[in-house]
Amino acid sequence: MNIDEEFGRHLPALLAEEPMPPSTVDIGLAMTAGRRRRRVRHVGSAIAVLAVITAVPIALQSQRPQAPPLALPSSSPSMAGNPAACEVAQTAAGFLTFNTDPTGRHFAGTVEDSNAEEVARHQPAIWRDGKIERIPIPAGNSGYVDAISASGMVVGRLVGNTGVVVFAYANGKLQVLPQSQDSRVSSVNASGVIAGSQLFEGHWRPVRWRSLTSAPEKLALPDGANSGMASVVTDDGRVLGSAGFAQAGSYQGGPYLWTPDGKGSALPTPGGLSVAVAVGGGEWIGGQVPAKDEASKPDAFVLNTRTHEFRRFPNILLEGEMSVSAIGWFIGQRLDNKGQRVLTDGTTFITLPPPPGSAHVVLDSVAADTTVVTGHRTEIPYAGVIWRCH
Amino acid sequence: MKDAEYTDFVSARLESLRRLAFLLCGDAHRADDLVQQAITKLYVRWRKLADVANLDQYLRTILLREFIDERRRSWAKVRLVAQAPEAAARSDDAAARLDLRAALLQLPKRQRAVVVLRFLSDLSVDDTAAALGCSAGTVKSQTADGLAKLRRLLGDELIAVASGRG
Repeated sequence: MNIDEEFGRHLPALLAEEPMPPSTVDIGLAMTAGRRRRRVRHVGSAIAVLAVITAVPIALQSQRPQAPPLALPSSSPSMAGNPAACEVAQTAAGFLTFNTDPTGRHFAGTVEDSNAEEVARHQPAIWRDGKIERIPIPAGNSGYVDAISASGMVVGRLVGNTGVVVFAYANGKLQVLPQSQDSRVSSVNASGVIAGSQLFEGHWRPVRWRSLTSAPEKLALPDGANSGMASVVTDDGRVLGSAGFAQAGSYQGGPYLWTPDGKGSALPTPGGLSVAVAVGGGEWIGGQVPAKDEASKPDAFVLNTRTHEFRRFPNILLEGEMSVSAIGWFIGQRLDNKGQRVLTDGTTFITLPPPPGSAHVVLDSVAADTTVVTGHRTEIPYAGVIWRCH
Repeated sequence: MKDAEYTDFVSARLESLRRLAFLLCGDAHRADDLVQQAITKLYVRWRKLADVANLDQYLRTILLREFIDERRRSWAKVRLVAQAPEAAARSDDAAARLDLRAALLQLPKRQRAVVVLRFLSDLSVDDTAAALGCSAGTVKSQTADGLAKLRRLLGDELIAVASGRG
């Protein structure tokens, strides 16, 4: 098996839990329509074929009800301590993913236009004053939101027939970042510094754009590492992510910190434990400790990037891109409780209830002060969800 | 064959068909429409299929041809009432899924179908060739091209992290 075949063997893991919306397939109607077609074939009239096709009752068209927006509290209460409860504050109809900025004031995500051509089906959008504002992108591309800054700058990817580039959107202007081919962006700080990763000979390398016009700066990897990803850039300019050694289907590595001058150092884990850093917030980052074997579940962890305190939790899966708050609370699902979505510090679990009329949600981000959590419903009609926590 | 057998046969395969169609076209609504078209065509021929050895493959082939041959049709005309069980919505990483879905959509249709059938529906080279009506050699070359492009678009790390493998 060559390296590409080995790569293919691991593809199902990415989609193993791909949520499917409720079915709209109707077996009874297939039989009814099939009987009509048999009769049409029997008669052998081309005109009759057209008649049957156009006779499909319009009344059977499914409606896609819009999730009604709920009342949003006029202001978010400031919270100094740990949260005690969370409630759904608002739903944002149409969003496939839905992120907040670290302050919990700006919201953006990806929406789907099922009438568009395949390559242009997904579009980046901002949620403002209860409405979707689509970010205009070049024709023939899909766009995906990856992060939003405290100043409201949105960063993400444009995916088209010619590949992937990174964009930033602020003040009504979309800009493709220099030399961003085959890149992914993961974070943007209040000053507009952008952290991301770039594919180089089949492996991700961490990069940083200091401005929207500057070329990406490669962040150094330690000796022996062939792979790294930048997950977060903090407002003080630190970049947090991971560095390690990757080959098809496996990865050995750990958390890594780059200071504003570009120097890197590994963040310690207990016993040099290999972990996959997937998410961050700034003060804390988090991810999963790989499972021992295929029968085991990976543990979640969070790591304080200054004190190096490491907390490990079984039976929790972190979710989202920015999923650890400044006080170390994080969002995820409880594997020991039917996948219940929670905001937690690992010992106290605060339920994040689905909005009315929904059964399932997936979480995307938590604000730095833990007062706002965002996610999205996975059933059609898709919708972003904002929870307020207090 | 009788209607009850048809209903049982299709019901048992509906979710896997929907998932296959979704992976192929990247849109849940269109996926259901493709499945609806495929099972309607299956029903039209149902009484004459007693001698077909592999009905699963037969139905999958109808679905694949619907996908490959589809034109911009009026999807609303075949939109139907919702009726199925609620979605088993569990997800670790919506962004990673969107990455793969976006990457799959960058592949030409036949190449995408080959990758989906071989690696996401776990069909052999021969079964994939039979489903697509092409040679095993074509499946192999399309597989190589498709995987190389996916690997270039996604990188190895995404797969490793999603697999939870260290």
